[in-house]
Parts: sequence; C-alpha cells; structure tokens
Amino acid sequence: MIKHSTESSQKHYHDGLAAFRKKEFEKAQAYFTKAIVLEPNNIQLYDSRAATREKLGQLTSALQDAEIILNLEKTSAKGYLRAGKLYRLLGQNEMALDIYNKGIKEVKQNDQLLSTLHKLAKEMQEKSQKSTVIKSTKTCDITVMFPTELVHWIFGCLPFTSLCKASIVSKRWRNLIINSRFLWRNLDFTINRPSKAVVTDQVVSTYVNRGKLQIQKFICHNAGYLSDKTLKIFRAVPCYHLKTFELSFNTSITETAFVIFIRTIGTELKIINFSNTYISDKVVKTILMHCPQLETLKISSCVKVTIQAFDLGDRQCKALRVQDIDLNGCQGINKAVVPFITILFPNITRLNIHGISGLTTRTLADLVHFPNLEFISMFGNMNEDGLDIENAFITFTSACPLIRQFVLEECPDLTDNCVRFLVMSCINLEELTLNGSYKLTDETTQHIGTYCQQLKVLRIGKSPGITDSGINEMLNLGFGSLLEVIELKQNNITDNSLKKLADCCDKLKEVNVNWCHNITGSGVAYLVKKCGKSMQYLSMVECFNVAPDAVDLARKILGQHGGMVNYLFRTSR
Amino acid sequence: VKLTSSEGTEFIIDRKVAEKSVLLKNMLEDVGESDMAIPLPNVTGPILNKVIDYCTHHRDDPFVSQEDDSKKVSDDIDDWDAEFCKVDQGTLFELILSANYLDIKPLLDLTCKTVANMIKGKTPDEIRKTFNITNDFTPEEEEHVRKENEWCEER
Repeated sequence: MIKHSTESSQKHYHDGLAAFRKKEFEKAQAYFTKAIVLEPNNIQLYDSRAATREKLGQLTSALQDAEIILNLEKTSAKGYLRAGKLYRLLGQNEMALDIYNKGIKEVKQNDQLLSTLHKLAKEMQEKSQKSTVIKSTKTCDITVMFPTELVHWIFGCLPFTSLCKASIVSKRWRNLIINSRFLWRNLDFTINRPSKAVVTDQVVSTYVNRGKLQIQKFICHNAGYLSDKTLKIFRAVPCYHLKTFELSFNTSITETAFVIFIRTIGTELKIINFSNTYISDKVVKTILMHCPQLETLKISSCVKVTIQAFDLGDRQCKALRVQDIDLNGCQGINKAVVPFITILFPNITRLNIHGISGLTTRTLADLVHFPNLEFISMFGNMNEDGLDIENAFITFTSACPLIRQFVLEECPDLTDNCVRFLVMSCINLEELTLNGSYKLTDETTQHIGTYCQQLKVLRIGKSPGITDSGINEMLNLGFGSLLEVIELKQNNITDNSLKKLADCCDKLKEVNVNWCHNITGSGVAYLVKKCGKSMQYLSMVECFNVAPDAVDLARKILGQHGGMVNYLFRTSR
Repeated sequence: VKLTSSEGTEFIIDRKVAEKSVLLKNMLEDVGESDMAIPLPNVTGPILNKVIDYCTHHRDDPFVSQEDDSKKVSDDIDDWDAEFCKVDQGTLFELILSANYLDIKPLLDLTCKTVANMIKGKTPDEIRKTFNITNDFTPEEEEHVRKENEWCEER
C-alpha cells in the first residue's frame, strides 16, 4: 500500500515538473499538492510547490511550504534557501539573513548546499550594511537634495522668525535664504517666547533691505525702541506693496514721520494698526485721505486722537472700504464720534468703542446706520437720551440682525428685556458679554437658553441676580453643546452650576468663577474630571472654599496639555 | 490606467486618481487611454504606492490652480494628511521629489509644509542636527550672524 502510494506520488511529482517546465504553474501546483497528500513527509515535494507558488506570486503560501520543510528536516539546507529567497522577495532582508545564519548553524557539514548558504549570508550581510549606510545619510541637507525652487517653496512656508533662524544655519542656507526677496515679504516680529534683545531701527533695516519691494506685511507689537528712522527705511525702498502695517506700543515716532509715511506708501495698505502710539488727529486724517484700500483701522489706546480726527470737513475720504474700526480706550474720543463714523463708513462690520466715554441710549440707536454690523463692543452705563434703554435695544436689534458678537460691560441699567430683544433678533450670536449688569436675573439665562443655540462665549459675571436655578434652566433647554467660554465671576452660584456645566458642555475651553465663594473642591474636581481635556484655562481667584487637593487636581489635568489654572487666594480659608 | 515604477512593479489605478497628477493628466490627454503601462522611472514602488494612497484619498477634492498666499501657513494640515506624513525623512524627501516630478501640487504643498514644520520653532543648532548640516561659518561670521539674530533668540 505504502509502495503504491509512493509510486503514484512520484507520478504526480513528475507530471508537476513537466507542467512547471511548460510554465503551466496552476497545473503544476495541483500535481504537487496531490503528491503531497500521498507523501506528506517528502520535503522535495514542498520545495517544488513553493517554487511554483513563488512563480504564481503567492509568496505567503510559498513561505508556509518553506516552513513545513524546515519543520520536517532542520538539517537540510533546502528549507533555509527557499525561505531566505522568499523573505528577500518580500523585501524582508533582515529576516532572510536570519534564516541563512540559522541554516549555517543547523545544516550538516557534508550538505552540498552549505557553501551556497554561506555565500548568500555574506551577500545579505553586505547588503544590510549598505542599507544602514544609506539610512544614516538619509538625514541630509534639503538644500543639497532638492532643486532650488522646491527649497524656496519649503522656506516659503516658514514664519518670519523661523526664517531668520534658518538663515544662519550654514553658508549655503544663508545664501539661498537671504538672496530671495520673496521669502522676506512678511516681516512679523511677534515672538511667543521672551527674547534677549529688542527690535531696533537697525534690525528692521536689515530685513526691509532683504525683502525690498516684495514686502507686504510688517507687524511689530513691541515697537518701543523704534524711531522715525524705521518709517524712513520703508519710504526709502519704497515699499509700495505694503498691505499690512502694524506698529504698536511706541511713543517716540512723531506725527510728521507718520504723515509722510502714509502719504508715500499708503496706497495698498489694507490693515493699519497703530494702537498705543502717540498718533494725532492729523495722522488719522491722512490715513483716511490716502489709503483707498483700507479695510481695518486699529488705533486703540491712542490717547492723542480726538473726535476731530474723523471730521474731514469738505475734504474727501478715500478709505471707503473700511470694515473694522477699533477705538478701544481712546480717551480723547467720546460718544459723538459715532455719527461721524456712520457717515464715513456705513459698511463696517466690526466696531470697537469699548472705553469711549459718555455712551447713551442714543448711541445704541445710532448704530442702526450699520446694517452689516457683526461685532460691537461697548462699556459703561447707557444714560437715557430721548428714549429708554429697552426701546433703544428694540431699535438697534431690529436694524442689526447680523450681530455675532455683542459686548456691553458695566451697564447697570441693562434689563432682562434688553437681552430678550437681542437674542430674539440676532440669531447668529456667538459671543455675549454682559459682565457687570446688576439688574439681570434668571430670566436672562432663560432667554439665552431658548434662543442662543450658536453661542460659544458667554460672560455674565458680576450679575448677582443670576443663580444656580437660572444656569440649570438654561442648560436644560438644550443649550451649551457649543459653549467654549463661560464667565460667572462674583456670582452667587454654587457647585451645582459647575456640575451642570460639566454635564452639558463638552467643548468648554475657559471657565472663570473668580470670587464665587460658594464654589468648593467637589465642584471643581467634577468639572476638571469631565471637561479637563478640552479646557485651556480655569480661573478661580479668591474661591477660598476650594480645597488644595482640588486645585492640585485641576492643575494636573489641565497641565497635561498646557492648560492654565489661576488660583490666587488672598483671603484666608 | 497602468503605471510602472522604477523597479518594474505595475500599478493599476482609476483615471480619476491618476489625473491628480498634472503630468499624467497631460499624458493621458495627449495619447488617450491605452493598455500600455506608463513608465515612471523616477519613482520607486513603495513611494508610488504612497502617492496613489494620497491621490485616492483626495480624489474628489476640487482642483486648486492658484495657491493663495494666505494659505501658506504650515499649521492647517488635517488629520489624515498628518498621519500620511508620519514617515521617515528619506521617504518624505522622496515623496517631495515624486510629487514635484508628477506635478501634484497639493501633495507637494503638504510634504513641503511637513518639512517646514521640522524647521519651525527650532534654534539654528537644532535645525543643523535635524538635517545633518555642519556649521561652516568662521568665528567672525558666526559672531556677525548671531548678532543679527539676537532679537529673536530666546532668553
């Protein structure tokens, strides 16, 4: 019986070989398989089938055959050679080398194929050494590897400060970088980390002369050491294509320098930011008459600017595209500026008059001349002038339905009804900041919960009338899924509000509960355990009933992703 | 469409996927569709495989012809793309060269941004380490360039 099966197995084997020679691999495989069924311990059969499968591209099943050979006869070179070859075909050179080395150890000394194993092992060894050499040189200079245009593309993706650092890496890098004007088109001197030295006229000069006419952007918010010279440098080029010019926190640059600068190269300016400088009315007037492309004008805390700046008389205003005006904290300006602005820029979408004194209900009603208004920021009480505050809100909200961000702080006369008119008309509201509105009650939070599904920022601190039940009701109305910032400082809320917020708002980034004395460690711990992952900032100044372990927990959880906890307690526990 | 890599491996892909490459798109428009494989002698199999991955994922993206200057910030890389770029430096560099050769702008943009991110926020010394570059300034030159950069050096 055994003899018979061996005979027919040999027949199948020879039929298989014949088919293999004729390149009929599918057939060959079938014959070899039949032979293996009859003679399952014959390694030659497996080897032949593996070779066939290799030709068919079935490398994994071929490898299975090779493994069977190795299991059947550890001391024969055949299995090692086959498996090694297959690993090489699979691109796993290290595995192949392992197999060959194993073979050299196991195979009998008199095996004729042993020398082949040695040869292949040596070959693989050399190959792998070569490839590690390639690997180590793989880390290499991009400026050598890539054509110049690609190198410039890469450098073009770098922000200004990174570009400066890249420019002193090596001579080659330096030449490539500093001689390409296009790379120096955006001079943004804003740095995140404290630096050793300051930005001087000399520093500005270096980079302006690299970018020359290509320069489109100049941003320097630590401009305290710059003088008239800086503006002269830009004029000398002259940088006609400047689109953004931001120079703030500077008290040395003179009116004349500003005026000449704007007159010479103001034609393409879109964004001007001279916040915290000593610019005068004349400078603002020059801007309005010489910058036809202007879209954004930021002159916050410019103490010398008065209302006269916006009174051009019979001279023509060329800045007709202005959309964004920031007069935050300009002490020389009062409410009378609003009518001037309505005449000059009816299309504005953003207006910041936070800190402008003497606002009245008339000011709010005047805003009806800005039908596109999306952002408004104001501060202080609205004294009654011709109409009461609720009527002023009705007038305002029906004319400006596009409002997204509404900021009115420290306005004690604000009522729940004002808020109701606002949230009912302005369905796109994303930010509502009403800190210091003493009259507000839980009715306000109810209105917010009902109408403000889009709200991301809610600041209703210093409103003692807002309680836990108001917060609870607001969140029960399905509100809060988008809320990122909430400020409830100096309110009478307790841990219940914090817990409810944690349950309903899973996008919270910022929470401010300063001076909320009823908050304890249990509320804080609940909040940070639930929302800590998304939170960037938790402020709980003077929340002296929060136990130290809760503070530590908050710091630990927020600290994991760079979040901050503000927790100064001056009052003793 | 059939493509062959430098070592002869064949890839069969959708015409739509192939057309992400301006080079292939023009070729296909010139010769029309045929059974002949297009040889890509500058691209190896594994790299071509990656490139096809990218083009398949982004097959339905609108074609952006003129890249906007404002888009040239290196932060806005989506999750899939970021994951796609998690490869060793050698592969990344080969991807850049292939994207350039095949003229696939968004892929070139992505890979260049990734390299830019390897430079961003690093000190000159760290950049040298990353790219295996030797500092070849003389001490005087070194002093000069260091002074020039003093304003943005961290304290």
